[in-house]
Amino acid sequence: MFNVTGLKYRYPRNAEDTIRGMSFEVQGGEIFGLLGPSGVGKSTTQKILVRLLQGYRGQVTYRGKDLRSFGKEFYQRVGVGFEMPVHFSKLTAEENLAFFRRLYANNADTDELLRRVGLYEDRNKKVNEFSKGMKIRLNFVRALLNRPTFLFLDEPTIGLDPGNARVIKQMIREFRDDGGTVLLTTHLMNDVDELCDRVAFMAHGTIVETDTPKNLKLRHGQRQVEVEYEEDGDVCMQSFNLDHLATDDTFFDIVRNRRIITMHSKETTLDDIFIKVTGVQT
Amino acid sequence: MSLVAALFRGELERQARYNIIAASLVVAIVWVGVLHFAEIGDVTALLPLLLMIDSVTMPIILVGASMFFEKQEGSIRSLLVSPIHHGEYIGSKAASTVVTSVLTLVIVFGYARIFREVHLGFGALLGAVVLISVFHALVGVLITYRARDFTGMLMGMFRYVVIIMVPVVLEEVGIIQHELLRRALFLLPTKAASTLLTATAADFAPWEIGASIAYLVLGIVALTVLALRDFSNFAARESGV
Ligand SMILES: Nc1ncnc2c1ncn2[C@@H]1O[C@H](COP(=O)(O)OP(=O)(O)OP(=O)(O)O)[C@@H](O)[C@H]1O
Ligand SMILES: [Mg+2]
Repeated sequence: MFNVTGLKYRYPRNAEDTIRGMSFEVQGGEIFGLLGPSGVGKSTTQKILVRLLQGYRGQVTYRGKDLRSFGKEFYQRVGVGFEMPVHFSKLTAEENLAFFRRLYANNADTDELLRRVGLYEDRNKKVNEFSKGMKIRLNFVRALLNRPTFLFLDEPTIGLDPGNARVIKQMIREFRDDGGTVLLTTHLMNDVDELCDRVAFMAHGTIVETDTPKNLKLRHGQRQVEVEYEEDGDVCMQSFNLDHLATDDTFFDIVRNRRIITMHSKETTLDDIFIKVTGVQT
Repeated sequence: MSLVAALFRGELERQARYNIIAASLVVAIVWVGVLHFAEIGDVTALLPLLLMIDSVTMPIILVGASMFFEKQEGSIRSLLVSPIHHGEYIGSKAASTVVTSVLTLVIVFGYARIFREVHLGFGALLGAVVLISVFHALVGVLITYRARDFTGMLMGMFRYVVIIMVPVVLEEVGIIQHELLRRALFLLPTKAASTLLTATAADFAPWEIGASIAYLVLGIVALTVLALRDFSNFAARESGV
């Protein structure tokens, strides 16, 4: 879908490049996660791909054609979910959607979308009377209203309660299962685990790692068991490699002779991988 | 429905909802008040002046306010990722401004015809008001591009009014009389505006009227080119994804 090679970008007033040579590919039918520390350039990359920033260097193709060669028709089947407010605040939700629907050749059933995100009852309220989470859900509906085949989502579940976040995630998965492609940024590694087919980690303006979440865990993973036990009235802790547990005498000594307080197997989480590959300490 | 029609309809809907129409009606009523209290029977000289002030200042304010709202509440972002061309966006703003200017014209001219004496042709006034307000809607777009915030937009408009409009008003009321200065005023679009508005009452040479129309039309073309050229910069600045 998107093929990005050697992408570089510098904001007009800045001295240095924000994007310093990124290459990646978003394949049709996948949910691709763009991850990285705050300020690394995830939103900037999205802005370039949705054609809001011109003057980038490198090559970006969409469906095999140079991104620059597209006109306004590019937006007919592309949905953009912003993390910031994007609606006319003195119009109602329904009036907003009605206005934007008229700009597209294809329209989704927005009533149905509103029902799913739980906003149908509030559709005749003005948007400035919406709570933060309601606005975020409305943004999501706005992104889907032209029946897009490609969906950009910037932090789609930030600010939502777990119930609503689950609904949105389910809708994103359904979108993918119906053949849609998604480029998503998020800081929530939980969302990545639940949603992303592949992820790319950004650091210092480039991509430092791309893979499926599962492979990343396998490659960066340490399989360990952490044992907390009592020794001479003190609490001690020791880690053991899961793969060599059967032959580890120290481990068996502790298990036989000490009082165990806790025992946890520790798989590397995406959080750990995030910190490791982006070099960011949190 | 075509895109332009959809955008235009949206603009009108929002003008109503954001009380922009109401504001311009209030201003129209102020002009009617001026005509009412001026206590002159024949308002042929006064009316063009009021219409000029209205169709210069109001389009700048209305376009500025509507674009400023869009920036402030972020709806501009949503528009920027819609399949609309920059020209369609700017065009719908100009067109909806014309609607309010014409509304004012109808109210003020209507009052003058019914309660006062006036020797001006409505058709000529209409044409002039349309040209002047499109021109100044575009001026409003350019001022808004450059303005950092609403105050900046108002300051830009204020500068324009003081430098470009006030001298012509001063000439109209007889304060500027120096011949050289009066000639110099022909450089200003507002002079072309006032020439056109008074055209049916005063005895201008046809070339003067032609030149005024040409000035405004060419000005509209030039301003459109600038507005389209600078749109991308404006878009990039306002489009935090
Ligand atoms: N309009 C702008 N002009 C100049 N610099 C900018 C502009 N927008 C963003 N930047 C800079 O570009 C860098 C990347 O910003 P960006 O918004 O892409 O980060 P991000 O990865 O999306 O961060 P977050 O996770 O916090 O959303 C930052 O250093 C930011 O200061
Ligand atoms: Mg961001």
